[in-house]
Amino acid sequence: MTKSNELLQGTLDLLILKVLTPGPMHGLAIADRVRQLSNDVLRVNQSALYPALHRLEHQAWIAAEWGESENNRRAKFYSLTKAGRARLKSEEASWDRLSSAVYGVLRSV
Amino acid sequence: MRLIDSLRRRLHSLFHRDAANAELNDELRFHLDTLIERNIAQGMSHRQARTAAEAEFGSFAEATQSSYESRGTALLADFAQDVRYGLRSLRRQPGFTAVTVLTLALGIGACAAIFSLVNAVLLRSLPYGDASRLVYLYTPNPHLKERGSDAMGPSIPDFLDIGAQARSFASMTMFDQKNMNLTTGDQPERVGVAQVDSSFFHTLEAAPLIGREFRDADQEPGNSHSVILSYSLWQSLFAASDDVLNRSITLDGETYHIAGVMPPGFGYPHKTDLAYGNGNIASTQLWVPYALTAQQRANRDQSSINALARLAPGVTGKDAQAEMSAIAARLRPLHHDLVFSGMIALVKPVTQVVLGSARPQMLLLFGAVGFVLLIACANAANLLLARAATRRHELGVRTTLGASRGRLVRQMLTESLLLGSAAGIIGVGLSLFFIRALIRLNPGNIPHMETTSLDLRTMIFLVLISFATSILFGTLPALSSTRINVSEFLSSAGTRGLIADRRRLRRGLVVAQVALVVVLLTGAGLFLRSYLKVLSVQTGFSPSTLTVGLPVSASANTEDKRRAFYASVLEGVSSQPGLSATGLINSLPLSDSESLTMLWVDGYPNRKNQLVEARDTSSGYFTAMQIPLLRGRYFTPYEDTPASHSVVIINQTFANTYLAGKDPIGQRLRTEPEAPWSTIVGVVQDIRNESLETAAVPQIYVPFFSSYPSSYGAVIAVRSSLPQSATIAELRSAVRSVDPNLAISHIRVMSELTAHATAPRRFQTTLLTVFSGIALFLAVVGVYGLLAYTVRQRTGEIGLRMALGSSRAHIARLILSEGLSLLLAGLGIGIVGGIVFAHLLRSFLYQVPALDPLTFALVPVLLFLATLVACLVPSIRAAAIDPMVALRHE
Repeated sequence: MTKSNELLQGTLDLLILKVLTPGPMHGLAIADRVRQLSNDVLRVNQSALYPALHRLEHQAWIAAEWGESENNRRAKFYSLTKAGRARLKSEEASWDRLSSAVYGVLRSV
Repeated sequence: MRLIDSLRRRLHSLFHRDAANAELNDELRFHLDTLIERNIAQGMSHRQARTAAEAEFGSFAEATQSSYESRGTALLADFAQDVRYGLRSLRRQPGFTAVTVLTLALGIGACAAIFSLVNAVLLRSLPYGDASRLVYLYTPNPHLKERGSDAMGPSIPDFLDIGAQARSFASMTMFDQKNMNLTTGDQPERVGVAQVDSSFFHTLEAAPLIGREFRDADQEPGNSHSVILSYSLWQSLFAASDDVLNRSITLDGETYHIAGVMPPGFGYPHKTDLAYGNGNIASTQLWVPYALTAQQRANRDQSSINALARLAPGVTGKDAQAEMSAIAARLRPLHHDLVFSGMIALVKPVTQVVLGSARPQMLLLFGAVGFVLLIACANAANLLLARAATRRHELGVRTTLGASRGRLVRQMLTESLLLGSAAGIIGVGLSLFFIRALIRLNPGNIPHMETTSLDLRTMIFLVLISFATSILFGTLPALSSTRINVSEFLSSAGTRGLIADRRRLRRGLVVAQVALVVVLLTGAGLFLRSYLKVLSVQTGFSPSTLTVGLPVSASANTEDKRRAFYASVLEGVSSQPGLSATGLINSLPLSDSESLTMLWVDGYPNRKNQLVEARDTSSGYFTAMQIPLLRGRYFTPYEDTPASHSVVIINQTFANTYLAGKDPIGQRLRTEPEAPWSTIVGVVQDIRNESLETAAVPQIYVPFFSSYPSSYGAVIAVRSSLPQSATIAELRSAVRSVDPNLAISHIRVMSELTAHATAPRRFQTTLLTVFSGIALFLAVVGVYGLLAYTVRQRTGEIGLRMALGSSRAHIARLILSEGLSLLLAGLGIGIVGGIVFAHLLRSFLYQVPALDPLTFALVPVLLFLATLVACLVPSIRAAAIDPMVALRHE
C-alpha cells in the first residue's frame, strides 16, 4: 500500500467517525451525509466505504447493530463507541495539525 | 480491552465466515436496493435505475472481497485452508511423509536429547543460591608442578585466619570428606560423609527440609555427634518418617543424633564438585559437624581442607583474589613445612571448577548432533524438492489460475511446518528414549548428568528447533518450486529449464550432506582410534585381581592399634584357604587418588620441591596384583613391620629418571630432609596409576607396616582360584572375625577399575560413532533418493539413447558417474572440513595425530562403499529400462 492510499484511508476513517458523532447511521446514510456536508465534493465510493466500516468495527471504534431503515428495510446501523470517540478526538487533532501545516506551506511561497 | 474485543470479533468471523458473509451481503444489498429505489423515485425505469445504481456502487463482488479481507481473517483462514490442504496432500503420499518425518524426528530427537544433557550440565544453574558468587579458596605452592597441586586447600589454622581477616566474603565454610560405616540392622554399609563447619549450609544457601543446620556448639569436640541425612537416606532408612529427629544412627560404631534432613537432590559435595574430591563419594549422603580439637586449630602445617566461600555483595572475584593474595603473604611466614611456606592464594569460581572440563565435551556433542540435524534437514529438503517436481502440474495450474507466488510459498511452508511438527512430536518420544540410553552410558565424570530430563526449557527448545527446522528445510524447496513462469508452463517447454535448475539445487544439497558426513566420520574415526589405543594400553597389573575397601575399626584409635588391626585383618585373610596371594595398599591404581611426597635421591642433583608419587604396600601386594619384578626383590615379611628397616621399591620410570646408567639396587633415597636414607631393594614394572592415558610417573613403594597407618582404611588385593562370590564371602568373614561392625566396600576386580577409567572416552566415542552412523545412513538415503529420482526424470532420454545405440553398460555408467561426481565433490569439501574439525578435536585425542593417515584414508573408503550401494541400485535400474516403454514415457 502506498503512502497516499494510507492518507486517503485515514481521511475516510476520520470522516466516518465524525459523521457518526450525532448518532447511529447505516452505510448509505453515512455516504450521503459526507457528500452533503462536503457540498458534493467528497463522494464516498461504496467499495471503500464498507471495508472501512468493517475495519473500524473490528478495531472496536464503532459498533454495528441491525435495525429498521427509514424505508422500512433491514439495515445495519453503526454508532461510535467510547474508544471511537477518543480516536476521533486524536484523529481530528492530527488532521488539524496536518492541514494547518499544509496550509502554511502553501501560503508561504 | 479493545484488543481483546477486536480479536474476539476476528475469531468470531473466522469461525462464522458464512454467517458473516451473509450479513455483509445483506448490508450491501440494502445499500444497492436503496440506491435503486431512489433512482426509481427520480423517474428512472427499473433497468436504468439498477444500471445507474450499480455504476455508482461499484463492483458488488469487489466490495464483498475487500470487506472480507479488511476483516483481517484472510491470513488466518488461508492458513487453516493450507493446513487442511497440506494434511490431505501429505496423507496422499504416505511413503514420502513417513520418510521425511522419521528422518527429521531422528535429527530432532537426538538434538533434543543432547540439549537436555547440556541443559542439565551447563545451563541449569547449580542449586546453591546464586552459584556464580561461590568460589573455592586454594593455597597452592606454585613451584609444585605436579598435577592437581593447584587445587590444594588451606590448612585449618590458615582457614580460620582467613575467615577472621577477609572482608570479601559474605560467608565461608570448610569441609572434608570421608567414608564411614553406617550400621543398619546387622549389615554395616559404607557411606560418603562430609564433615562440615556450622556455616556450611548457610554458605550454600541450602536449608534442611526438616530439622536444623549445625550450630557452632556442634563443632565442640565431644558435642559433635549429630548428623544431617540426605533425602534418599531418610527415605531408605526411616521410610520418610516424620519423627526422624528423635532417632539416631550408628556411624563407625558410635551413636549420632539426627539433626535434620536435606531436601531431595542436595548431595554437595559431589565427586564432580571438587577438583580432587574423594573418588569413592559420588554424592554425599551424610553431613556431620567438623569437630576441631585445640591441636587441629593450632597445627598450621599438617592439614588441608576444602574451603568454599560466597562473595560479599559488590565484591568481584578479582577483588577477592587481591585481598586473598595479601592475606596469604601474611600467613606464609607462619609455615615451616616446605609446601605451605611457598604458598600463594587462588580464588576460583565454583562453576569453573565444576563445569570446566565438561564444557568442551558438551560443545563437542552438541556440535556433532547439530551436524546430524543439518543432514536430516538436507534430506528432508531433498525429498520435498523431489515431491515438488511431481507437483509441478498442480502448482502450474494454480499459478495460471491467479494464485500469487507468495500464496504458494505460504502453502508449501505450511506443509513443511506440518512435517516439522509431526517430526517434533515423534522427536519427543525419541529423545526420551535417547535420554534413557544416555544416562545408562553415564561415565561418572559429567556433573549432574543423572538429572538429565525433558524439562520446560528442553520442550521450548524442541518446539523452536522443530519450527526452525521446518523453515530451514522448507524454504529452499518452496522458493524453488514456486518459481513458475505461466507462459512457459502452458507451453510446457519451460519445464526442462526448471528441472535442470532444481536438480542443481538438489545436487548441492547432496554434496553438502556428503561433506558433513565426511566431517563427522573423520571425528568419529579419530575418536575410535584413540579409544582403541587406550584399550590396548598395558595397565601393568592383572585385570582379574579382586580388590575390596577395608575401613578401620572404630576401636583402633591409635597408630599402634591401627597397625595391629591391619595386621590381624591381613593375617585373617591370608589364612583363608583358596586365596593364593594377598596384599594391602593405601590407595589403588586408577582410583582417582594420589599421594605425593618430597623426594631426595642420594647422588642426584635434587631440585627444590621435588615430588614423587608414593604408596604404602604390604609385601604380598605385588604378587596379588601380578606386577612383574624387573630387578632385585620384593619386601620380605620381616621388612614389612613397624620397626623401620628403611627399604623401598621403585618403578622402572623412577630408575630411568633418577638413576639412569646406574644399578638401582642398593641406591638410596629419602622423603624427609633429615630422615635416614632408605635403600632400594627392587625395581618393578610401570603400571598405569593415574589414568590409562597418562604415562607412568616416577613411583616409590614403601612397606605398608613401616609407614603411618591411615585412619581412612586401606584396600585388600587378593588372587584366588575360587569363584568370585566365594572369595568375597571369605574376605567378609575374615574381616568380620576381626570386627563384626566392619563392612568391606567397593568390591571390584581390577578390570572394573580399568573400565571405569575408560568410561569418559567410551561415552564420547560411542556417541560420536552413533551420530556418524546415523548421519551416514541419512546421507546414503539422500544420494539414493537423488539418483533414483534422476533415473525417473531421465527415463525418456535414456530410452532415446538406447534406441540410438547406447549399450546398457554405458547407461549404467552415465548414472553412476553422476552419483560419483557428487560423492567426489562432497568428499573433497568434507575432507577440508574434516581437517579443520580434527584440529579442533586435538585435545580429545590420545596418541593419534589430528591428521591421522589411517582415519583420513579409511573415511573416504567407507563413504565410497556405502554410497556405491546407493549409486548402483539406480544405475542398474536405469540399465534395465526397456527402450520401447521408455520412449512412450512422456
